[in-house]
Amino acid sequence: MKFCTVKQYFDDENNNNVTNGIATTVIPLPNKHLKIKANNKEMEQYEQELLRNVMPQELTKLILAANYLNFKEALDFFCRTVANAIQNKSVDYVRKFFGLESDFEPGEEEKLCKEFAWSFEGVDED
Amino acid sequence: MSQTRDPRPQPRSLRQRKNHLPHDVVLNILTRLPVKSVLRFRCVCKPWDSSITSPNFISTHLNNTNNDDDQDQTFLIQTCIQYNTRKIPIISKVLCCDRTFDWLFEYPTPSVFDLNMSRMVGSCNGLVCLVRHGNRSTTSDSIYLWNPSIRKFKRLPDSCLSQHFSNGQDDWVSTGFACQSKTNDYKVVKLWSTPVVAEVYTLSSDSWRRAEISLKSNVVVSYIDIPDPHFVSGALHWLAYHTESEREREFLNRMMILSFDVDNEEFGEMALPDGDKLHQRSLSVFKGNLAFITYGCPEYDDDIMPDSQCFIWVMREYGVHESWNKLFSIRFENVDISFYGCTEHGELLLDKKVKEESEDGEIKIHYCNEFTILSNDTAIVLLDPKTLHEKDLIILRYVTDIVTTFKESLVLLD
Repeated sequence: MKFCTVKQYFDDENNNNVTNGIATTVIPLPNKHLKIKANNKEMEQYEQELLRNVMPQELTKLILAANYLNFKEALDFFCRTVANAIQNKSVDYVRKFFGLESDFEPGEEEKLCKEFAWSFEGVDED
Repeated sequence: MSQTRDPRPQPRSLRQRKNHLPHDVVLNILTRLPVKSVLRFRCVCKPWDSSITSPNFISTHLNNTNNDDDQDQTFLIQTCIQYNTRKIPIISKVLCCDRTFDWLFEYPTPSVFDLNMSRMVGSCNGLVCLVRHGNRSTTSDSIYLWNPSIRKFKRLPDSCLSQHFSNGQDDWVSTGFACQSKTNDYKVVKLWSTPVVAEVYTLSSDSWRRAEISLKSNVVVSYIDIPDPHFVSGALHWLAYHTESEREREFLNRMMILSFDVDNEEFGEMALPDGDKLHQRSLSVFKGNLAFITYGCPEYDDDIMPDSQCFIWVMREYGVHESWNKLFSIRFENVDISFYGCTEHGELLLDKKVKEESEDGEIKIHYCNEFTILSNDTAIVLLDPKTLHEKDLIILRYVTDIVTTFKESLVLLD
């Protein structure tokens, strides 16, 4: 049931969502999950290893792949990882990471930042 | 360009921004962040600000906190240190402690709370209800709802009965805080004496209304055993004394549990478990069930025994008297204990004071100077009633209160 879209993927020729490299990472995940499902610690270690070799920007592609393949466990796992990676980062870093721009009116953003000024303390340097 | 049939046609804009994450995926990420990060990221862009403040997002974020068993359970600790001199002001704090009691940090409290005069009466979904006592007979209590994680608070309007009571010697007030999960609403219940009357405040309507206490069997509530009520199984529960119109009975036997159902806003009553009771009594919540804790010395014993006991009764099936089950019976040697609450994992928080022995009736003289602390220090232990394993919680000192149901949340007060 997890792989209803995989056949579709292999049938597509011009698919922008998933590249070969991603396929080798995402698709073996369910088998690995099943093998060491009982042992959470092992899974954590496996996942940490996996992601140490992946740049944050690559994570975005992994997420899109997991989303396209409708693979919930992998999607949740990647989202959790991104959350851990960005939780202590600045607003600017997050904007660059997600490719977003500020669309606030002048003064609106300052007002918001001032209201929660304490949440900007202890943030990682860019 | 070759014409290939793309089974999932994408709009042109998406194809250009091929690495952009869909909004629901972005929300999936944001709901996993701690409160401080989420608040900061309100400044990223308008769509994010709008999503983060939506009730849907706040609920999902809260549910993530509920499921993350090991990470996010925390305790709120109120402490008070008073020195032997007016030159040093009384220091009261609200601290947040992690589940294993390994680290502490302080939540800044608004000065208007006047923590020396305040008490936290309950917490639901990250909101804390705090009562600041009025000055004797001039002013009544002030009640605040506070979300320490987002540093917002709201003072409740004065209740309808505030004007009518004189705060004389026989009067008492008890305040309880509960949430109504069906409607995502919050209620504060206030009981006054004498005679006993009740009022209910609802956050969504920001208003108070009177509530009738009409119990079966013509029972009239005469006295509430402070401290504050406990919220479990959709209702608030107080230990109360009642009078029956005709007969005289042993004072302690007339104790019962008064309940207030948050959904239908009706009061009810429940009997305590049958069985031996000790001097001190308290209600609590043990792993999601209503619990009755009794500790100290046997109630009919006038001799001061060196050993204390503690019995823990749990109501396995809510509302069913026969389901009261005496889960634990613990004996403590040569210590006095005070009960502070149960953790969600069924551990007990107790203050253990070793009984001081005076040799030959000697009176100990303590040398006092202005740096002597007058407040009672506490020695809180975390006791697992199954294994009797104790952990000394050395980072907790001068504790006046512990809230065991706190978690960080984005819940707003407007």
